[in-house]
Amino acid sequence: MLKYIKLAWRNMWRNWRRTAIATIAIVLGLILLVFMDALIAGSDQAIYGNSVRLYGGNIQVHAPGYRERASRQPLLPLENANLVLEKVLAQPDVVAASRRINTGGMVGGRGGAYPVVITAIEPEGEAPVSLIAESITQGRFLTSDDTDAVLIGRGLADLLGASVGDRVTVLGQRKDESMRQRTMTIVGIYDLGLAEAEKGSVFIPLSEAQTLYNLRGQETEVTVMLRNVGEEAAVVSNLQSELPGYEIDTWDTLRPEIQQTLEVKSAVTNVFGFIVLLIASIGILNLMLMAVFERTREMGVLAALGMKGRQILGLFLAEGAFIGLLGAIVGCFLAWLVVWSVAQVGIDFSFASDMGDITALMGDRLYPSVNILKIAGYGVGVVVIAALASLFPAWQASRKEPAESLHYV
Amino acid sequence: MAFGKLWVIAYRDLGRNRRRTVLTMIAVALGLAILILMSGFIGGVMDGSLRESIRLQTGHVQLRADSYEIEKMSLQWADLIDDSSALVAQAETMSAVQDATPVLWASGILSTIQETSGVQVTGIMPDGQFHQPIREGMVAGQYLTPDARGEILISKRLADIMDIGVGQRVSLAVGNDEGQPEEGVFTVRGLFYTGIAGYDERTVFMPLSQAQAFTGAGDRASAIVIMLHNPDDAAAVAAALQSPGITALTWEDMNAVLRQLAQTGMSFYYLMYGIVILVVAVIIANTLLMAVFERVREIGILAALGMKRRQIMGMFLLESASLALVGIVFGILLGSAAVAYLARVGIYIGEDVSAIASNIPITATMYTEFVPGDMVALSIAMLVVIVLASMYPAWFAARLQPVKALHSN
Amino acid sequence: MSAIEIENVTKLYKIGEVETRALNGVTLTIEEGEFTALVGPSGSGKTTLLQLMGCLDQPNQGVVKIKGQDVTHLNANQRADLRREMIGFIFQFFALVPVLDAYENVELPLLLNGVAPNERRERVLNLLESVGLSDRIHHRPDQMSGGEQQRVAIARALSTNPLLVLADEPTANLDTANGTQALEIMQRLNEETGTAFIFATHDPRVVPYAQRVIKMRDGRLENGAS
Repeated sequence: MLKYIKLAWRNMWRNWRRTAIATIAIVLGLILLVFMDALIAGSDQAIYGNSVRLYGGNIQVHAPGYRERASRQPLLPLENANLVLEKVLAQPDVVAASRRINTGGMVGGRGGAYPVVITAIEPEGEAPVSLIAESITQGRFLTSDDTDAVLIGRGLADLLGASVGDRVTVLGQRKDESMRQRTMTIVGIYDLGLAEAEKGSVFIPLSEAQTLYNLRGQETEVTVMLRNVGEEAAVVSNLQSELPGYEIDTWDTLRPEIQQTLEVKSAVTNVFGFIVLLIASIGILNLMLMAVFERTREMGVLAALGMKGRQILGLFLAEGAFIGLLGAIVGCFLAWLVVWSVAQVGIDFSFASDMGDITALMGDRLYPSVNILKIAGYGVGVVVIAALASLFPAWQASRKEPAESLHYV
Repeated sequence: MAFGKLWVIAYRDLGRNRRRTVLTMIAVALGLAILILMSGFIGGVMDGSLRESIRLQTGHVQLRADSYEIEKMSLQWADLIDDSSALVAQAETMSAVQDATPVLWASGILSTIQETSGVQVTGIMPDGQFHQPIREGMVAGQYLTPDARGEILISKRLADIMDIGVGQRVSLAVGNDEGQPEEGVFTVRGLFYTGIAGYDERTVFMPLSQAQAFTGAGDRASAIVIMLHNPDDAAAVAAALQSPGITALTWEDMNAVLRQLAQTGMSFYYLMYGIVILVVAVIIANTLLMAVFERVREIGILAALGMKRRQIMGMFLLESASLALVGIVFGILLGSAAVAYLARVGIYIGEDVSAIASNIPITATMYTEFVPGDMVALSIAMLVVIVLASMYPAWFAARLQPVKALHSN
Repeated sequence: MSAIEIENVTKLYKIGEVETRALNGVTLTIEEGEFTALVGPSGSGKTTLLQLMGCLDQPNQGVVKIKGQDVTHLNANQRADLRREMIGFIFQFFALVPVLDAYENVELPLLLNGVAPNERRERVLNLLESVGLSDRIHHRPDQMSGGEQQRVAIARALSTNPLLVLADEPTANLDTANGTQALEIMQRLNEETGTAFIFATHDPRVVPYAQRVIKMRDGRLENGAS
């Protein structure tokens, strides 16, 4: 068995130039596929990561029906928020959990009036874990004693032409009624470097919102902060079984259109990558056909020595698979290198930030995301394709009568 | 040896190994077809979105106050046009102008009892020709009349998303001329559909006079939108209508961001084009190299008979070029067929996905478009690269020593 | 029991639309340990006869028996097994696997037969010694002369201790000295191991070495048994 492998390996290098050329085709195809995939994954991660940074919290718990309308801040109060908090805090990896209200509204100042999402938070609970609290550049974070206080980002402050101490009008949707206006003072300005996204948010204390928006003693959300980004899945499924009547979401699942876009982008990449690899596999097919042809007489000799058809087939199959393997190893390594190098500097993506409010979350630079497992997966796929491409020539080789092969010159 | 004879040998050689020749041609054809499809897709989407932007948002020429910034959508009097009727009249005297109509824009929010959505409120003269797409796109209820009070038009998409019916009352809030939010309750008079999900989702129409009253703008307008008989006249018309305090923008100016986006995308696409071409070229070089090895003895004979090196090289290059040409022809046919098909049928990505890049007008179904210039350029590029890639095998063949070649088995 | 029995065997080839009769009703018996030459001009059918004896092909008519067993209608795999165990081959063009060295080439049939590593090693080294190539063990075919390659082929043919060795024009590509050397080695090994050697050849040098000479012409045996 091992000797077969040795034979197949040596056969591969009989014509090193030919093998090299076929390998190059595979390598190029792999690099392209992996790079495109990494870009998409990178954009997805950026949206996710920045959402976590800007809005705080990896996981949110809502009342049923929220998810479908999440982008319009439906005022669906949570039933028994305390129970939710209890269950959430019992989960390992949960660093903090707090109650919030999200409602839609506008903020108006000297520089004009703009639509925003009003997020009402429990300042004491969130301050220790809030990235926003760490990123205050002017003024301070909120406290629960604050009345008529609002916290905004630099992006919004610039748009409004406002600074700490200025008064702005905040208009918010009241539950079951229309809007409620209030003049508030800016107590703090934060800067997360996400100017476009910051334009759409303001933060006020929870107690204020409960009074203003007809949600006394209620909240619309429990926000959960985990120790590490990327470990949400386990916690989500645990919580789902503990809290069956609620909707548990991460930023990935909260906006269905993000998921759909991801699926479209993945589909495009897959189709494209498949076709490129198909073309590369034609190269392998060609190469193996040539090899079989060249070695027809030699195969006749091996058959004369007693090698069976299926063993000869195995020989060529192994050779094709080896070429695929070589291409896969070199290709995966180079692909990883390319993605890693680009990820160090990122691609300037600032032009995209005003494409829409979701793309605003992608930030100014796009960093392709390396996923070693995925790269390895593509590599395996390449080997399989190479083996399949060799199947026909190998099968052809196995079917010849030795006598015929021996006279083939 | 005459070119004709070289050609005959080359042609017959290709016929000798029909399977390999066909396979390689398929690789070329497939590769080029994909490139053509990609370019058709990009062209279609880019042209499509530009077209829709002009049709729905920018028109061919716009007149605005010097200090007006479209991102801020200010309603301060200093940023608005005072004498819109005079400007409209002036524009309409120009033969190049088809229609001129004033609009007022305000950013705001629309709320039902439960939800809020950010919208752009647009005050229009309902009979303006520019608004024909809306007038003809009514799918429920009735269109606006110029003097209607308390009535708005929203899109079918927004109505479905927020569960609003014709005749229902909704809350609308915008910023007024002093930057303060202004609320009002309006009845939905009718629903429109433009096919651009992102645009539909965030656009609300009301009569201009109503908008002016609502926002406290008096009789001012944000811009005059002008449609021309011929888009190429835009620069001339803009120059003619330019005056102190008024800035005139052409559709090219206004869609600069869109086009810049396309440009940046282009470099990515060029990369993809490059790789596909490279993969195909590698396969061809591979095939040719194999052919050379197959015919080493024959080359030796030809050389012994007196064929010069450059003639041998020329023969192989000819083989490669003819293979490429046939493949390219089929590639063009295949690619054009695909583009033609998708130009009619399109690729459905769904409304939700198309709405994600909300500032780029994309329809729910993406259509391809013929870009003959690209087709030619890509074909030429493919041919050139293939011939270049074939240089090595051809040169290798030419350098074979006749004696060594004749002795090989 | 004879080693090989050929009974009234006919073989046809169809090239394009032309049908050629390579063998026409040939009957022949080969005993164990023979050193026999099939002689005849090109096209006489000797190579075809050799191939049928070696189960490399199947006759259109007639019966082939090896050690009393009818092998005429065995399928490809069964014939491969038979060749593996019982028959060795030597070719005009040496037919070594170019990517394997001398040792590995001789070892190949033993690997196919599943022989244990130690035994393999012993046999291969012995055989290479008996053909005088102990100092070329790790040389590849492209590092050896024609004569040396053929000697490796001889060693390979004998590696599984076969019933018989079929040699198709083994000296055609060798000069006088090497050809003679190869024949002497084969003769010696025939006496030492008792393996039958059947040659198909038109090289007159071979004839003096043969115990038995069978002449062929136009697909038939010239003397006697046809």
